[in-house]
Order: sequence, then C-alpha cells, then structure tokens
Amino acid sequence: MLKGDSNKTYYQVMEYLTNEIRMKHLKKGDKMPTERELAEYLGVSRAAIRESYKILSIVGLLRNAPSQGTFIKDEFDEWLGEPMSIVLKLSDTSMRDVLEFRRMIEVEVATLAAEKITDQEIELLTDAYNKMFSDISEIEKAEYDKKFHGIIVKAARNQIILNAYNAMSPMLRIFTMDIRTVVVENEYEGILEKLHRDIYEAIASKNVVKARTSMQKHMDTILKNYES
Amino acid sequence: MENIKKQAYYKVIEYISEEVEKGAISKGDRVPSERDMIEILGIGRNSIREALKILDILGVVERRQGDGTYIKESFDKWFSKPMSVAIMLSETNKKEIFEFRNMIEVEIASLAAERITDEEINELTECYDEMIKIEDQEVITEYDLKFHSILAKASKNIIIINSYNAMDYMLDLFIYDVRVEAFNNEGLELAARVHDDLYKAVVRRDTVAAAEAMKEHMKVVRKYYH
Repeated sequence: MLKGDSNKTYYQVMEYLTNEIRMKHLKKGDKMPTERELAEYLGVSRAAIRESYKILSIVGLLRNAPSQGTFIKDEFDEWLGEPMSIVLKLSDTSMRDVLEFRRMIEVEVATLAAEKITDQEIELLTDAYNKMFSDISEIEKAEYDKKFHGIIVKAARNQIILNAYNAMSPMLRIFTMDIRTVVVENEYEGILEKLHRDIYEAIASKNVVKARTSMQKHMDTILKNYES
Repeated sequence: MENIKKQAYYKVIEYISEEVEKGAISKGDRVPSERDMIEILGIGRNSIREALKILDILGVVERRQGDGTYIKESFDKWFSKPMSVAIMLSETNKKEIFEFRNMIEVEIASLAAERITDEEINELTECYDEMIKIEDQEVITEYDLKFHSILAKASKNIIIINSYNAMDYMLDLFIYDVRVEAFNNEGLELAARVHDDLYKAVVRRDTVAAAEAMKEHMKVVRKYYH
C-alpha cells in the first residue's frame, strides 16, 4: 500500500489496530490515539484519520464519544446489517445457510452452557423460560425466546462463538421471518414449549448430552419447516 | 437503527442493495458512477465515497486504483476482516479457539459428506493421495490445509465457509506450530492416520461417520494445543 494514499487510510488504520492488538498495546475499550497523533505516526492527513475513524465506527469496531475521543468498542454486538444483506443476495445465500449456521452455534453453546452455567445464570434462564410460556402477547413471548437463547450463548463462555452469534443476528433479521409462527402452524400447538422445556431442563440440570440433543432437535425442527 | 437510516452513506448502501435485489448489479460489476448516484440520491460526493469505503472494508466491493469501484467476484472472506479484529480483541484463549474450530470443522465434515460433488471427490482424493505419499513436512502441511479447505468448500454453506476463513487469522495469532510438534512426536504418518477415516467417510457420503472422524481428528489437534 502506498504511504500517504489518503484513499486507503482506513486500511492503514486497520493494520495499525491489528498490530497494536497483537503486541498487546491496545485492547477492547481502550482509547485510540488522537487524530493528530495517528496522522503524524502514519504520515497522512488528520482529515484522513478522522474519516477512517468514522468508517470503522460505522462498521462496528470503534465508537466515538463526543469530546472524549475515539475508543475501541467493548462489545461487538452491532454489525451493520445492510452490507451483509448485499452479500447474502449476491452470493445466493439462502435461509437454509443461515439456519444451518445458527444450528451449528446453538447446538455447541447448549453443550458448553450445560457444562459451564452458573447458578445465577440458571435463575435468569428459569425466569426467561417461565415468562416465555406465561400469559403474555406473542411479541413478548418472542422476546423472551430470544432472551432464553441469549442467556445460553453467554453461559457457554466463549467469546469467539459469541462474536459469531452476534454477527448472525442481522442475517436472521434480513430474512425477516417468523420462525415461531411457522413452526407452530406446521407442527402442533405445544411444540415450542416442549422443545424449550427439554433444553431448559437439560441445561439447568447440567446434563451435557441431553442439552446437545435437545437443542439439536429444536434446530432441526426449524430447518425442517423451512426446507419445505 | 433509526438514526443510521437517516445518514447519507446509508442511502448509498441501501441504493446498491436495491439495485442488487432488482438484478441490475451483480458480482464483478462496476457500481453506479458517482455522478449518477449524486443525481439519483441527491447527496454529496463525499457521502458516496464514504459509503464505498465502508463496503470496501466489509468485503462487499473492491476499489481499484484509478479504475473505480467494483462489486467483488467472490465472497469467501467477506466478514473475516472486521470479524477477525473483533475476535482478536475478545479476551479469548486457546481453549476457546479450539472449541470454535472444533465446532466448525465437525459441522463442515458432516455437511461436506452430504453435499460433496463428484468433482470435489476427485479433488479430495488427489489431495489425500499426495498427502500420505509425501515425506516432506512442509509439503504435507500444504496438502493438509488444502484437504480441509476442499471440505469447507464442499459444505456449500457460504456463512460457514466465511467463519472457516475468519479462523485463519486467529490460528495465526495463537497456534504457531501445532503441526511441527505433532509431527515431531508422532511421525509423518500422523497425516494419514488422522485423515484416513475422515476421507473414507466423506467419499462414501456418510455424514455421521464423517462428523465422528473429524471429532477424532480434532482430539489429536487438541493434544498439541498448549
């Protein structure tokens, strides 16, 4: 890359970021150098650095705090969804691809969570599970469903898998489908409760094998109903 | 979310997305010219350039020096760049990386066994035959990597392929020489030993056996992940 080519400064900033992380000079949540410092260091204009910071913030790696500076984000849970949808369309990615990816992750985190879940997390899971099947609207139920799965992902204690899970959410949104309704229509009324009860009981009792098979069943049910 | 949608750069991304949806732009095509987008979207040149830079860093388009911006031809590595930085920043350790790799490789083995084409079987066979014949550790390593990437491709799931490719960066970070140590301890025939069952299961399209064989392979890898 040409030094001083202001058109590609964001690549230089990305490279700088990668190197600093590798050398353990920077970690998540840290403040980035000021525009002036980095501009001098990389031999580019301040405007180019400002723009690069903005681009990397939009993408979801950095965040700008007014009058404090630019920081590396703490959590990478908000990726820009629209570019993803362009790629999904261009690469002929189907709903099946997304759901298979989800199945892979959910099955693995259920297994890991059964092993690693804390008592406090079991309480959270119990609460989400009970509320999911209480007398509330379908929209609220769907929220608790999402929460239920979110607790399991966190309980698995694997940052990389969590990142992959977060990257998946915009993809699921892109296909804007209502998994819950479709599954109930094609199967039977109590199916969601049955599927989640098995998962809940297995994880709460720390049964690794059952946690895996019950989540597998949940995900296979979803896939089956989307294949037809 | 609401906020983002009002931004000028977002209008550009949305516009390109719509053009793709309509089939007006496809892989490898040049994106609409700045002049056209200025006219159609009623926004400034800078916002358009900003949007194209965002799409570039996310692996959607490619900006060619002095030749404009094109939609990429291949999306095998589209989310690996920002994702890999996020992964590097996560307070992660080798155990987590292993768990992640194990998850992906096992899924790939099972999907590949289901979907591998005859052509890919030929490719895999050729690669496998070479791998077990050769006695140069570096060349074996090349064939080993190739073997796994043929399987990844055969899974036919672009998102899983992307995750597999994003893994390269992490492996570089943490695992310098798993293979060197493994070969030193167990000899070069290890390559045949860990891939034999896997190869056979995939070729006869047995998804369960392929997943099991990959799990066994990963157990050997695990032994040398210190």
